[in-house]
Amino acid sequence: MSLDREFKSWQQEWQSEATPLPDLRQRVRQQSRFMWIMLAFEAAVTVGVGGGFSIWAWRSRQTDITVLAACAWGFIAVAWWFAIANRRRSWRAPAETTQAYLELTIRRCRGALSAIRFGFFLYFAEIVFCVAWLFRHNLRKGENAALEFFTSTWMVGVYAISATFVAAMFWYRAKRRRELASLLRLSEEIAEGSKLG
Amino acid sequence: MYSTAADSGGRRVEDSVRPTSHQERFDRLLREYGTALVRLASSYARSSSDRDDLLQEMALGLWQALPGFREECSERTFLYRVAHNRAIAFLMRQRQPATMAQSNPADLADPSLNPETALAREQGQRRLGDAVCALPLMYRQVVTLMLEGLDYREISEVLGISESNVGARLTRARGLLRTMMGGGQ
Repeated sequence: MSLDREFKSWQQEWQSEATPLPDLRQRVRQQSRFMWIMLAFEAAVTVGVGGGFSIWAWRSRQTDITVLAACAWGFIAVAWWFAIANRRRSWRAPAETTQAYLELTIRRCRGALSAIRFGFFLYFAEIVFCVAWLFRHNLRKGENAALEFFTSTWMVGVYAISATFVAAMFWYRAKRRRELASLLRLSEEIAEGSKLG
Repeated sequence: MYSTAADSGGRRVEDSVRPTSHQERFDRLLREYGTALVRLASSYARSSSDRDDLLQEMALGLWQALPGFREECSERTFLYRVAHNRAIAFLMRQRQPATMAQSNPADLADPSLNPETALAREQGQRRLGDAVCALPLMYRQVVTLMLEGLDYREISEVLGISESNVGARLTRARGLLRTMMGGGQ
């Protein structure tokens, strides 16, 4: 069999498989809607948290609550600044080639790893700040001694959530690291393949 | 008349009637290239549920990329480019190397064929599909595009590589396929 005839027969065999296409239009509409909802959710959290603290500070007119509101906006600003800086150059591939898309995917993966590190530090900065603020706020009212405060049910909840958060972060980091390693291997493989011919 | 999967080849979009909206163009592309996308997805995803997930990602990628399509290449080239790039991202999330999706025999059954012919055809398809799935990515990409009927120029446009590179990859891929399929046909 000649080379062309061989490929032609493979082509016929390949193209004779005609599995019907699932209803993708509906799924794409749902997924697009979900992405918009997530974006709206991020904006709503920003406005809700920042706005909520601001309204509280404005109504109470107490200095420590004003400090809390200012710091909440500070944390929000830092989070948005990092998110935008981290996603810069990761929106789209510079060229429509496999290599360019692969590089974009690698950048996104590295961005995700940076975001994990950043999220870790931001979370603990927020927790330390909030706990310190609450401790000071409650102490001033004379309700709790230090020992009682740090062993309270509320604080046990904070410890549990923090432990879960750290475990989830480590799991996610390991997953993204594996993905990055595969991407780098694939990138090398494709670069080698490009030398052919 | 819009171009079709069979005849569009290297035709530019200027040659065909332009669709009136993003949604219409998207629907038409899925109608024309839907089965080709399923075959492409099957060469990357090992189970039918994974294949459907990948198809969804390809469709979403196409939906998002269509507004940015500057008609510098044919629609078919553009569609395969988006689909292949999505497939790479998908492949990275899979822990094990992708193998041929297990098609539902009912999906493949052709009522016009007798059971023996249908079975032989299904076995042939599976053998070829398994061999394509087992190819390293750089060969699999060119082989799947060639099997879909794209020429060297179109494959080079889809993958962003030179035509001579396409030829070299195909030659090696053909040898590997022949070995995997037991000495060719």
